[in-house]
Amino acid sequence: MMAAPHPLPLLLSLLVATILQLMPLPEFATTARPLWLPMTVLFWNIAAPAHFNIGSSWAAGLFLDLVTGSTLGQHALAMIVMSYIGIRLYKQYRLYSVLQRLLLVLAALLAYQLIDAWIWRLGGHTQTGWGLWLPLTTSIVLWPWYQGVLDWVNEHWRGAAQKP
Amino acid sequence: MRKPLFLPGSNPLLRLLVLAALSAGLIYLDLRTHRLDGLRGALNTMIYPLQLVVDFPARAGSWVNEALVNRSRLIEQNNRLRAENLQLSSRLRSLESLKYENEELQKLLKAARAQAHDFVLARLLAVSMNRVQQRIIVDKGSRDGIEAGLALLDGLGLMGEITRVYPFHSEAILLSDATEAVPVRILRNGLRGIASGTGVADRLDVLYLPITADVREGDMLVTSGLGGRFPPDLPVATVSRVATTTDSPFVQIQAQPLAALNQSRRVLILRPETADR
Repeated sequence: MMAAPHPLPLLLSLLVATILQLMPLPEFATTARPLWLPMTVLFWNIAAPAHFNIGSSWAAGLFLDLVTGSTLGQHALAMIVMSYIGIRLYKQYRLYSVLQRLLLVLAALLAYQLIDAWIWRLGGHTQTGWGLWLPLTTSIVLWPWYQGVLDWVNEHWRGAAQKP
Repeated sequence: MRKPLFLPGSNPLLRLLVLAALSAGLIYLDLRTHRLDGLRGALNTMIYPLQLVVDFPARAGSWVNEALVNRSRLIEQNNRLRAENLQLSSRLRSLESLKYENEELQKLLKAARAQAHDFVLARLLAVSMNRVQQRIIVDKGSRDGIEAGLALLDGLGLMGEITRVYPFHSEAILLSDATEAVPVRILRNGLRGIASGTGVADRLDVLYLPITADVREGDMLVTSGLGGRFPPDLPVATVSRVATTTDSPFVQIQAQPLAALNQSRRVLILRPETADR
């Protein structure tokens, strides 16, 4: 059983990710905006699968549905399929090389993007190529650094909390 | 700490299936019926404080910016604004007389009197902009007299339309959203068409004008007021490209919205004056 993560970095990282996700940006940056909230949720799924589980991911997805005004359940569904991939493979993730890790993250985020795009289409919004692939690309490029920062924060807080 | 919804040790696949079924149910109800509108309203009002927290960095940034502006720049700005104000108010006075004249003429023509409007100033709280959806959240809601269907403007032109209203905030769809369309007319000759969003913030397509239509680059598009959704004569866009193809009876027109759709942080909501209701 894995040690529970400190709640402070967990909640803080989710808050910062939401801010980054919703911040008004210029056009080119908006199209290329990384999937901040899904990346953060996936990180905690892999880092603490017993504590940040599929139910938590679902809640985060529903929250995103509410703040963006999308169809209720849309991001929630995309988020739990992504999390399932992460939670199923979290043990392997620790053993994987950098390239294999990126492939796993790519598969999970791709599932997220495809389900998201599919439900957009159900609601009558058409999806074009760039909007689908550009956020995925920037997310993958940023993942190693982002994961490094979150890992460091997580370990730091956990270490500080365990000291008497 | 966030409590897990299920006991640890239970099967992730089972959780996935249960929650996926729940999400699919929500998606169905939300897309095909309107039964979730009440639930969405309640939940959205509950998370409004979080929305303010999310907006905090932007607000703090502009506050720091304002606090650090030095005296000489303030004076310079003040002088410039005063000059601008003088110009605008003199122009407004000439417009007032025109408006009066126009009203007299319309009375003679027995035309229906145009609805008077006032503005509600609102701030952008969040944007959800990508190629599929162009929506924004603003910080005024039903408490401030906002209703669904009201027009949203910035200083330059029409930005979009309020779609959902909550007590403290509301959601608006931008002109550039691929599902949004506005009835427009060309200011120069009164030709009517539909300006439809493309999913790209700086481009609208004007639909259903025949190849023979007299459209030129640089033509100004204003709302036609048809359909009664928007008041007439709000500036919308300028025509940026006109092209004809042999396989279509319609001319292909691209237009650039006048409003800075992805830059404005302060917006105006056009509200019918309560006295006229």
